[in-house]
Amino acid sequence: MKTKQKMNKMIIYVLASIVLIVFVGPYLWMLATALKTPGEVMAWPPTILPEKLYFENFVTIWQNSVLPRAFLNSVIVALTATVINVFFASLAAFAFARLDFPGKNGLFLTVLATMMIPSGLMVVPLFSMIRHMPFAGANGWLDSYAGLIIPTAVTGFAIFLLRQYFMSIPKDLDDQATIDGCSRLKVYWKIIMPLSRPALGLVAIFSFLGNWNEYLWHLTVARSEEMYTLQIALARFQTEHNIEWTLIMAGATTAAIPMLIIYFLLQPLFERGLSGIGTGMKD
Amino acid sequence: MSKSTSTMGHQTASHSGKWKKHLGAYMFLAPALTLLFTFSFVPILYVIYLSFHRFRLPEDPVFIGFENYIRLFSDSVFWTSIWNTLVYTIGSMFIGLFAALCIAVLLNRSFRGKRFFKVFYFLPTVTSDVISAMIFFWIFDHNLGILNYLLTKAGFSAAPNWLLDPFWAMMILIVVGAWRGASYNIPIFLAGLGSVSKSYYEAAEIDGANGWQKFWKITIPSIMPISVYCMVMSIIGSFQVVAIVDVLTDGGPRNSTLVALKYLWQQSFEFNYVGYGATISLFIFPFLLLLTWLNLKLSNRGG
Amino acid sequence: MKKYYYLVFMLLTALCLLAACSGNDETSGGVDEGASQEHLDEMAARNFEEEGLPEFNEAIANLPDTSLEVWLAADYVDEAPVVEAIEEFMEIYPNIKVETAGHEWGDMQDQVRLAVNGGAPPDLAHQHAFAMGSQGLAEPVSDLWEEWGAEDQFLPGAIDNVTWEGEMFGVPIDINTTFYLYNTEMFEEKGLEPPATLEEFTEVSQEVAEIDEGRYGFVPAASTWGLQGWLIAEGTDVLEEVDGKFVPKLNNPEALEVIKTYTDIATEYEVGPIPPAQSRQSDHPVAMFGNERTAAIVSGPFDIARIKNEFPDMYDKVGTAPIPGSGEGSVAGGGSMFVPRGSENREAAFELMKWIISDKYALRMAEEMGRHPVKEHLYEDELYDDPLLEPFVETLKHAEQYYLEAFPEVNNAYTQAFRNVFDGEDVQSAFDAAQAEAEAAIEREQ
Repeated sequence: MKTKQKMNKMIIYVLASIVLIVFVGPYLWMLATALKTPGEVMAWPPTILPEKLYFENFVTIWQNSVLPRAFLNSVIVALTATVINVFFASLAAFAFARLDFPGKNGLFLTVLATMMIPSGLMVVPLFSMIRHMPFAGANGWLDSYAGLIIPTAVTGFAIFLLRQYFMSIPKDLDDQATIDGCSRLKVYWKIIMPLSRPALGLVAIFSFLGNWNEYLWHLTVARSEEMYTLQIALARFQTEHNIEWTLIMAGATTAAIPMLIIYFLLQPLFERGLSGIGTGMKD
Repeated sequence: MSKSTSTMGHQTASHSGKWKKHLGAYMFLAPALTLLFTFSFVPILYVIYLSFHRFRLPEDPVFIGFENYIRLFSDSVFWTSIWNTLVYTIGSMFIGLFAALCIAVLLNRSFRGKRFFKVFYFLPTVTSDVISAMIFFWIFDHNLGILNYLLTKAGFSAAPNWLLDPFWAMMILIVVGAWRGASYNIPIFLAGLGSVSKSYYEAAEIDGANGWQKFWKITIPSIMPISVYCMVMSIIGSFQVVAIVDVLTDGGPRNSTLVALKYLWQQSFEFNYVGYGATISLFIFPFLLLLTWLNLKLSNRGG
Repeated sequence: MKKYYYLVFMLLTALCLLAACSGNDETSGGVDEGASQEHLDEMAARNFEEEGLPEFNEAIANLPDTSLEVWLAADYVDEAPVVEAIEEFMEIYPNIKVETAGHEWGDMQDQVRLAVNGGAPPDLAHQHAFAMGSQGLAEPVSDLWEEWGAEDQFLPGAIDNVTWEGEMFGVPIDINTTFYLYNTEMFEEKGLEPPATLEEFTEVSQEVAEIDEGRYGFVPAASTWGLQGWLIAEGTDVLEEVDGKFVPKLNNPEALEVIKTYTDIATEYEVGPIPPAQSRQSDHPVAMFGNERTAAIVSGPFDIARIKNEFPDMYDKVGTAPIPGSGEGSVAGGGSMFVPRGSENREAAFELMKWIISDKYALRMAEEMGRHPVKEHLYEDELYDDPLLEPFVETLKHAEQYYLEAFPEVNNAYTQAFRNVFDGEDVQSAFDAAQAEAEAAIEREQ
């Protein structure tokens, strides 16, 4: 009996490790490439591990004039958009989950519909809208943080996700509070929000992720180098160094690291958020 | 909420008409929906308008009636792109979700170091699709990729030119899509599995059910709603795939991986047929709308 | 759990503060109003011609304070010769402020289109002016050329890059042609000479290859611009000029002959790799060449500069020769600057173009970036005594533009067909299909 249990444990670890290799292996390969010299990367036969760790690639990237500023811009844009999304979407989700009003289902369906609009072509009309934004100077919101952030800040996905989560919170709690004389805003702020921290964390991560990795829209809005975001700077960097795969991989690593850090920090919250969504879907 | 007697903000009067309550609800919606609708429906209206026009930047749009729609139905490349998108979507969805479920079942056992594995399994989700695709390029490229080198070393001399072979190119896209999808869905399935009540299993054990029976009769039905959710989300995501195609195959070989969004992009920007591009995007939209409706229907069953 | 929130919060706050500090760069200076007499006198006394710079233009100096938004290709915008040319321009004309931004070459056309359509064009952009002019995206500047009176200094191939149907739409920035680059060490080892004809090309590529050691004979690219050099060298083309209009003839039998020879290197004889599928794969050959994984490639002078900078170890082994073929000449590459339609600063932008390609900076661009001048007399510089550049300078006289650039859809059909041949399709059927597609596209255009 004991040995069988041990065997089972062994099998679990072996399987888990295989899966680990599948998910993490490609990243190790990216890192290995980023740490090779340009010559080694094209060499035949190829080397698996770098002959010697070559950090020069990362130095080159940070010496690029545009990148640090672009990195900062990405942080600003992703962060602000995330805050806006979490706050606004949770308000709307609260209404969809807890309040009654005419047109609720229709509106909710419309919100969901926004999730499936293929973003590519929207660039043409959006550009004109941004350019002619009232009270914002000659070029509207072009080349501004407002233009980078606001049009893509609120997502239907966030509203949807939060609504699902709010629905999984027992209604008795806010009914009780309402009887005690709390306004709806208070119920939202004092009861629903604190209980939904995991879901809010989840939305925050996806929101940040989406904005951090956005390319097309940022490319359209950002006109001057001061407004470039990280993905644009990296794409530009790639054209400048288009045969230096080592540098491209170092750039990719640089872009991925902040996301990883945020994920590691928020991971416990994130998982509870997901299980909330899970039960919210099920009940 | 029917018991509620208060309105939003200052509660000055005890009298609160129904409309006032509704107004309060709309106030909750206003900030998010104003932004969301302004920046998605105004453009959509414009896109509908454009679909009836010949629009080549920087000239002004010229009304041409249904010409773009007629062209769409006779455009074999467009239908190829829809077919490719469907193949990719369905392939990557099933492989991805099946893998996610298996891995979630594995992680649902208790063992030491579980959290370590869980965190790392999520890596593909937090990196952008462009970066993932670039890494896979470095693996699958027939010339510089590591895979063919290792295969040759292992004695397979006739390894295919992965990304240049119509069959394998699509397969690789599906695998990359499924790889990202699995990573994304593992925690969701895990959450679903965790919420299945233990008492069901205990009851089944008393009835003498074995592991497989328990899995099929209890686990699968319990996680069905969440699986539907995952499927629909995965369809929405996969239908809009374009970045990994750009990096890995650029739509080739011979249009075998040309997906709908890439074709849309090509027509509207590379060839400057913005009106026709509008028509294409309108055609993609109702298809996805149908799926959303399905999603809502299914997820609403209990909620 | 609290700890985590706190940490994240602190991190985010710190970043916000950082952002707030650096986000408010005040850029408005605006001290100079017009040109002071002192400045004008100083400029009048200076001999610009001797310094290899354009004459002082008082009309520009008298413009009110102007800000120019300039979009250059990403691999030009940060290079010292370009940056310094712009800086010196601003010193001479303190009333003109120039702001540059780098754009990916492939994105430039879309970005300009969007900007022109949205009514917010930049004042100067960088692409093929003839292609932009043909689409109505560029302001005509023939009048400014006439005023300048310098047209006869330019290479005809460079002028072609800015001319569409008789109208001029910009100023060329650089020019290049393609030629054969080979690894002299590998060729000597086998006692081979660079090939002069297409038959020799096939033979030599096979003889010099060492496939087992990972060394190819020739690395082809799936780029039709690259292919164009081969067509011109063989005296053929896929566009015909009929009554001043271009007509595609993508399945021209003479051209197909060349294409077959070219692609057979990879598909039939397997002494060259099949090009990767990505749209940006034109850099693949030079990387293979620089790392000595191939004995030869075809590319332009810009790659000589690149090899010198990025693969200094093999630079000494580089040899050059014209593209094998029975005729002479090659494709003309390079780009040009133009004023996007709707810009209000046409004159100032045009003046800046003159500065960027002035003798002083054009020679530096040649030396430092491998981007060669568009004015004929600059080829008398000692820089061009370099034997490596000989086939370049030779073919320059007969270099022709790649006009398919002005027909995006036809160009795409053609490029796809070329790609398909690498992926195994028969040459004839691939290009027949492309021709049919091209004709349909042209019909749609009308």
